Amino acid sequence: MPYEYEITQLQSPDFPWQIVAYVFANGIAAGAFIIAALMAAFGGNFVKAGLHRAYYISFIASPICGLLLIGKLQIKSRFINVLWNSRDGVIMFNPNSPMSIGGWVLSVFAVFATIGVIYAIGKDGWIQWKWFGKLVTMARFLHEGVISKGYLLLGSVVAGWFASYIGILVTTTHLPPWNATPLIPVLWIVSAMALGASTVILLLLLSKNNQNLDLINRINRIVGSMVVLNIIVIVAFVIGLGQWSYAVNSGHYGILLWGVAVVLGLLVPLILIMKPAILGRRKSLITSSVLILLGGLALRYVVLMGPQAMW
Amino acid sequence: MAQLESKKGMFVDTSVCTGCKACETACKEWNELPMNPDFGFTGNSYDNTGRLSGENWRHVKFVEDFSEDRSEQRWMFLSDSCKHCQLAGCMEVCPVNAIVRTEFDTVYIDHETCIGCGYCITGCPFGVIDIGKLTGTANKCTLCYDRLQVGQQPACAQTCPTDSIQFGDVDELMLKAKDREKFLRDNGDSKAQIYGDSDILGGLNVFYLLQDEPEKYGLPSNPQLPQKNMVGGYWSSILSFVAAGFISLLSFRSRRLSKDEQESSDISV
Ligand code: SF4
Ligand code: SF4
Ligand code: SF4
Repeated sequence: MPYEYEITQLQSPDFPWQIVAYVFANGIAAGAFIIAALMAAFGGNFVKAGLHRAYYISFIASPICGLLLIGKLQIKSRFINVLWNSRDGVIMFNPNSPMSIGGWVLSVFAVFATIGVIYAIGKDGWIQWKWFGKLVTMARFLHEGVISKGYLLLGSVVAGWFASYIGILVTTTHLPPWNATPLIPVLWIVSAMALGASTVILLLLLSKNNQNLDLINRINRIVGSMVVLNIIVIVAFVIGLGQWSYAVNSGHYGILLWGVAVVLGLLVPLILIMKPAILGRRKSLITSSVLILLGGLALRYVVLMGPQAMW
Repeated sequence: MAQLESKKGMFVDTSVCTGCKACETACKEWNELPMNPDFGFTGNSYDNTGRLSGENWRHVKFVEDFSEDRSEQRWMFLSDSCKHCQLAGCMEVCPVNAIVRTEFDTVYIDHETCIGCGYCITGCPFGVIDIGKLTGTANKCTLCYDRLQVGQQPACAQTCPTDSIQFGDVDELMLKAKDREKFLRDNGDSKAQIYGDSDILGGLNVFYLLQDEPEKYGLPSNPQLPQKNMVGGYWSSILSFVAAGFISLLSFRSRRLSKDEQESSDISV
């Protein structure tokens, strides 16, 4: 039929490559934040020296996310319209639009990431200016004071929302491979945790501090759990797509999904996590972390670009 | 939203359309839309426009309809455009409220506000909107808002030589359409049906009298707002966040160290 509804009548939004890079960067930023905040608040009484460095990652990734989001727009100079409706002179907030909500979630997350990095700089003693010291005191109160558990939990929830909202955004569309299952937000959250934890490990490995060893091992265990969960969610997602699974399974999308995202980006790292002796512990950690990042990027490319290529 | 003055729309009677494409031409001319960038033959009947797009706000569909044994055949036409839905998916998802309802109860894109994010493209259940190649903003039929403001009817409706496209007050047009539907059914066109009464997205201001099932024309039988899937997305986010957070904490806090972890002195080498 020349006018078959789902095949020929629906239109692709033609989201460009920046959306893939954005979801990748936002996964790293959010995942690193959640690892730092949740483990600091509820991770038990272990030596956590170095955990605060995760905030550097979130902080650096946040503006990159903002720039990628602006780069995705056709009329880039109007990006502020997402937060401020100059036509009506009111704050722009549309609760029915995950994209509108996402603009605010990114902004709130950037605030948490900034407070986090002030705390981290204070801990590492990099800046000694007096006025900055006041900010550090405030950040330290939020991260270590009486309300720290509540604050860090709230920050983690915002980070989780930040990691998943593009999943909610694409689910709230008419493209069948995006709305066939509610699992894309799940994919993004689980993968963000693995990406964030892997980036934190790479950062910690840069330091020769032996105090980090226990912390690296513990974070690496999180990576292992998230990798297993990620594989389960990917399989469930593809099964859930039913007749639309060819959008992610066929052609180079299939190779990227199963070859790069699953085998190279999840199964090989899982083997290295379980049997680090294969390459030696340090090399295994570096290799598995890098492969997880590569796989996370491939996963995002396939899930966002494959369905769009159908129209 | 502008103060509602009237509820204007169009009744598209496909049973009298001849597929002349005068409406397509009039729309292009009035709105100064550029030539189709991918000009060529689609191989689908006489339809070389292909689909609605940023450069084609009206599109005449040519449906070649055959019986199963191909002993009977007919040509059906449908002049398609934005339906100016009462529950408009495009409007719901726009993150900057660039899509507004006018005083004529039509759905209009404010090009000074649109950021060209493309989200409305997937919010429309009919695949109507597209980003204009020249403007970089979302484009679709305006129901000739500029003409309505000066008391004229839309260019396509004025041009249509068979009155297949009729412009007017929606309620009056609907009464007319119901009469016409009854007439066609009484005269043996048993599948004649109105598409776009209040059962479809709260009512389409631009609605159709079809001669067969909507699917034959590439129309969804039960279009929905995209928000139908949003709640599921939020729930899955919340549950997966709780699960991933909980599992991470368990993994992190576990006291049991593997043999490899105990012998991890080579990390800092
Ligand atoms: S047909 Fe599509 S573009 Fe037109 S008002 Fe309805 S949802 Fe919006
Ligand atoms: S492209 Fe323009 S009209 Fe469409 S959702 Fe984005 S801002 Fe709104
Ligand atoms: S109402 Fe105007 S803009 Fe809409 S299809 Fe007709 S001529 Fe084009």
